Amino acid sequence: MNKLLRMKITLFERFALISWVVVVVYLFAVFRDQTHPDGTLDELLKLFFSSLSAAYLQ
Amino acid sequence: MSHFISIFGPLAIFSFACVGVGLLVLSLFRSRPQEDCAVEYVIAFVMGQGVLGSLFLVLALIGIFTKPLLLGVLLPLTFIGLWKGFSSIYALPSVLQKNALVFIKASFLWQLLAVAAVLLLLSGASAVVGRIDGDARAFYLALPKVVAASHRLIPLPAYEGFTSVGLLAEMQLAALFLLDMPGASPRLFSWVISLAGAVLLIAISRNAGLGRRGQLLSLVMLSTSSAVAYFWGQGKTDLFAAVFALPAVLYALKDCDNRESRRNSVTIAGVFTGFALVAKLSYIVAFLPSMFVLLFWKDLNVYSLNRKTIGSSQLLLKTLIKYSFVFVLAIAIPLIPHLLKNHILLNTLVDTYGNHHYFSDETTRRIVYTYLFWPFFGSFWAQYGNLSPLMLAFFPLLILMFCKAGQWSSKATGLFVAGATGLLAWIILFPGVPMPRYFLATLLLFTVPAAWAMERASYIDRWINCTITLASLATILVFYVSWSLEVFRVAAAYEYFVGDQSEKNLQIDEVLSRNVYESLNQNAGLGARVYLGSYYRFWLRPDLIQCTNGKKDEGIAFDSKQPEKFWIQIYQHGFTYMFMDNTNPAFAALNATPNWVRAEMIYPQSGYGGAYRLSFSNPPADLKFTTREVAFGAWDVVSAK
Repeated sequence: MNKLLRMKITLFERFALISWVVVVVYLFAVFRDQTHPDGTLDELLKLFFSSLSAAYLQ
Repeated sequence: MSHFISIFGPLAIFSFACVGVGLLVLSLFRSRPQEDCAVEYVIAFVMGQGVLGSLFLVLALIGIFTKPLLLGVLLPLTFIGLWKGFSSIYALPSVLQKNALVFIKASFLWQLLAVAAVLLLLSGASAVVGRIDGDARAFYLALPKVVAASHRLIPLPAYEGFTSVGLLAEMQLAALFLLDMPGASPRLFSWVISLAGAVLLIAISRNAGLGRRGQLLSLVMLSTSSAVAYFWGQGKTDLFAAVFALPAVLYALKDCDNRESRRNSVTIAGVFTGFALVAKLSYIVAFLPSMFVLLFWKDLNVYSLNRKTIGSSQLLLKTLIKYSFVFVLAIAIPLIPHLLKNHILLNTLVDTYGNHHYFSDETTRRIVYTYLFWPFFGSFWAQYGNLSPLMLAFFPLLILMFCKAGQWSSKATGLFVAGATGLLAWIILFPGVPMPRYFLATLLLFTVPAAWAMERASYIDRWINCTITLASLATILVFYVSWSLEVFRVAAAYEYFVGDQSEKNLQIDEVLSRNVYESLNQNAGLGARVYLGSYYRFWLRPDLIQCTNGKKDEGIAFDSKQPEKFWIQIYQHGFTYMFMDNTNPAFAALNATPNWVRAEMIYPQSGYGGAYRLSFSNPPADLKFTTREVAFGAWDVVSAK
């Protein structure tokens, strides 16, 4: 525990982690009430970017 | 009497009876590692579920599953459960005070998260007014309703072979039907047991070294998994297996002071694993390997530290063999009533269904390649829900914390390795079955290491702390909104609970579907034969369900080239009513009735099906089958001669 408490998370790790969390939670919010694709990465990314562009266009 | 009393009264009686019998069974294992009072009661509750479910199975097989006998069994046990519960109530104020102090000292975001998680879990009770899942309308709720009314267990018509599945959950629901719970409300028991599951997951987290934040995060991940929440009120019984599995995990994780304590711990873990296997046989693939990892995780760690010591390999081998034997022997105990049931009813011991090849090779490949994603975002056929996105969101943090902390021997690591072992076994044997409910307990093991990493990170970095709490709150909010029509129907549930005993406050699809069956219930006489052109039967009267088309009627099929043949068979088999789905192949027969058949519509055909009364004048064949009440409430289809 002490070792853990002394542990530092670098700026890059923090940025990468927070970005990843935002992407996953955003995807979760996007998928609600939708007929999901079959969960494959390419379809997830397609939906992610299409939803981003849709939000931008609005 | 309002719904509230008629629903929660029997639930309370049955739940306390489970606690009572569970405490009696656990008292046989005095020198076992103990948990705090609340967790001990929950473990006893789950043990009681297994024991009573098995007992009811035997009573129903004998044909004496009657209300006087049920009350005779339950009431003394309920008294024991209540008595033990109230005798420990003196500890409640200090526990509440302690928890209140911890709550007050926590930061606002953590307080908010705790309140949101508890509210989400409690509002899950409103799932009881949601739509009943198709499988539950076909079998999982229909069978208990029939068992309760007929006081016996025989194969459900049209599902004769499928009756070989484990019926532990169904027998508990049958007891609740027999205690006069109205409509389909016994399905609420799935939510009750998921509360027990939540307490057990928190206990596992605490045992794995997680603090209060970690325990709360485990709870949040459990509650925001639709693979869990979907089953709170839909009538399917998949959660029972997961809840039986969790105490097994808890006992496998326990530190034991001496050999007797270890032996008892392994035995109890084995009994719970056995109950889980009966409730869901698929757990044998992914959960059993996980259990072996957990049972011997500490021994393997000790061995890795002392592997150069002479005799350490022999000691490890001896321990593995000895406790594996105890574990397997304990697993066999709950299997006995289940195997007995299959032997008596179906002359088989274990039956499996299909080849589990649901998807094309290409789709199966895609499932395997994206195994990190489909449990969270997938929506494959029959998948029934996802895991919490928080597990995926903080998975990189788990890797980061494991690498930086280097605590490879901790229990959290053990849970991760156990989960990964089970998951790997599933991927190898069933790569094309992306269905969390088949190995839910194994997948839930991952919540604990994820929560462990999140908790540790929340203490060392305030940005990460904020991210964790905000992401968790956002997930709860999105989850609640996403499932507000299916699960979280709080306003409708309030009306349902405080209103009179009627089913009009159920979800509208359920009400409209029920109306069709209700028209048959009101028209058909006792023991009338209803030809079901549908998989679904729950809302029919129990005597009518027992007399619907089953194995004896397998030869009946509609052929548009010979429509009269179908109607002759219908007459010969004694059917006088008909329920027809729009999609059933025999639907066309209603437009091809010969002149000696009259199909009078008693409920108009719609997307929810239609109901018909059949009458025959001068039929060109003799009657072959009729029905007879062989015991009170028990109806058989018998030869007419």
